[in-house]
Amino acid sequence: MTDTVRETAFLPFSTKIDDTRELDSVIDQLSAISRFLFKDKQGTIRDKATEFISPVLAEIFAELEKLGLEPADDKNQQIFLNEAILYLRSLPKVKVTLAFVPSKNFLNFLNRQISESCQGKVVLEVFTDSRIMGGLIIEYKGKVFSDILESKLNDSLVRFNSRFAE
Amino acid sequence: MELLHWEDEVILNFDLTTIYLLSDLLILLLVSLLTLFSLRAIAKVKQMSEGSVRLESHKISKIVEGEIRNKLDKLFDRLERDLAKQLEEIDIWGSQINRDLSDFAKKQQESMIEESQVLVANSFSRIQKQLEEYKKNQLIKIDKQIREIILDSAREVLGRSISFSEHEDLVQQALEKARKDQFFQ
Repeated sequence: MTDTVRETAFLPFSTKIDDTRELDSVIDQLSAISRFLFKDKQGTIRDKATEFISPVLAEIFAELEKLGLEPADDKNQQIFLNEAILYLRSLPKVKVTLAFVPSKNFLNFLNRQISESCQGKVVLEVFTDSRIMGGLIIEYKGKVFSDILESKLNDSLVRFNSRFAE
Repeated sequence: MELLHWEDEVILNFDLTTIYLLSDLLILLLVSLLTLFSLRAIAKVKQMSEGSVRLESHKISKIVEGEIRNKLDKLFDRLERDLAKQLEEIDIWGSQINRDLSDFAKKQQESMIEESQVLVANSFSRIQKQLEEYKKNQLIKIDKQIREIILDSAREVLGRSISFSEHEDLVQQALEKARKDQFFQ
C-alpha cells in the first residue's frame, strides 16, 4: 500500500484522534477486533465486531464502508486492520503542556492548528501543569517552544530586582 | 668550618723564630747535661778531687744557668709577643664573625618579616574574595527565594482568577507566536 493510499484509507481514523489517549484506545480496539476476525465470520468488520466496537470506531468503519475502502474477505480485512494499526503508530507526536485540562473541542481545535503547521496529521501528547499559570509549551522533533505566564512573571521579577539592587 | 680553620691557624701561626728559640733551649739543656756527665767522666779519668769536680761543675752550672736564663727570657719574650699577636688576631676574627652573624640574623629577620607580610596580604586577599563570593551566592539564593514566594502566590491567585476562555486565548496567542518564529519548520 503506498503512502497516499494509506493516508486516504486511514484518514477516517486519524480525523477522529486528537491525542495519545484516544490513539491508544483506538489501537487497542483495532487489535481486539483483529483477533476477533479470526473467527471466520462473514460480512463487514462492523458486522463482525458489532458487540464490542465503540461508537467512534463504528462511525469510522461506516465511513470506510461508504467510501468502499474496506476489503470484503476475512484475510484482507485482517491485513487492513494491521496496516491501520501500523499507520496510526507511525503518526508523529507533538508534546504540549497546558496550565489547564482542555475540553474535547479545544483539543480538536489545537490538533488541527498544529497539524496544519506541521503539514501533516499529528497526535498531541497533552500534559497539564498548573505551575506554568497560562500559555503553552510545545516539544516537536527535539525542539522546544515556550510561551508561558510563569516565565513572563519571572522575567519581570528579575528586572524589578536588578533595578531595586541598583 | 671557620672555627676549625681558626684552630688550625692558631696552631700553625707560631712562627719559625719561636720554634728556633725552643729548639735552642732544648739543645742547651742537652749540652749542659752532657757537659756535666762528661766532666764527671773526665774527673774520674783524671782523678780530680771531689772538691775540684764540684767547683768545676758549679762553674759550668753557673755558665749554663746564665745561658739558659738568657735563652728562656728571650723565649718567653718571644712567646709573649706571639701570644699577644695571636690574641689580637683572634679578637679581630671574633669581631668579624660577630658582625657576620649579626648581619645574617638581621637579613633573616628582614626576610621573615617580608614573607610574613606577603602571606598576610595573600590571606587577606583570599578571605576578601571568599567573602565577596559568599555574599554574592547568598544574595542569589535570597533573590531566588523571593521570586519563588511571589511566583507561588501568583499561581494561587491566577489559578483561581483566569477563566477557561482566557486560558484558551493565551494558548492561541502562544501558537501564533510559535508560527511567527517558524518553530514548526
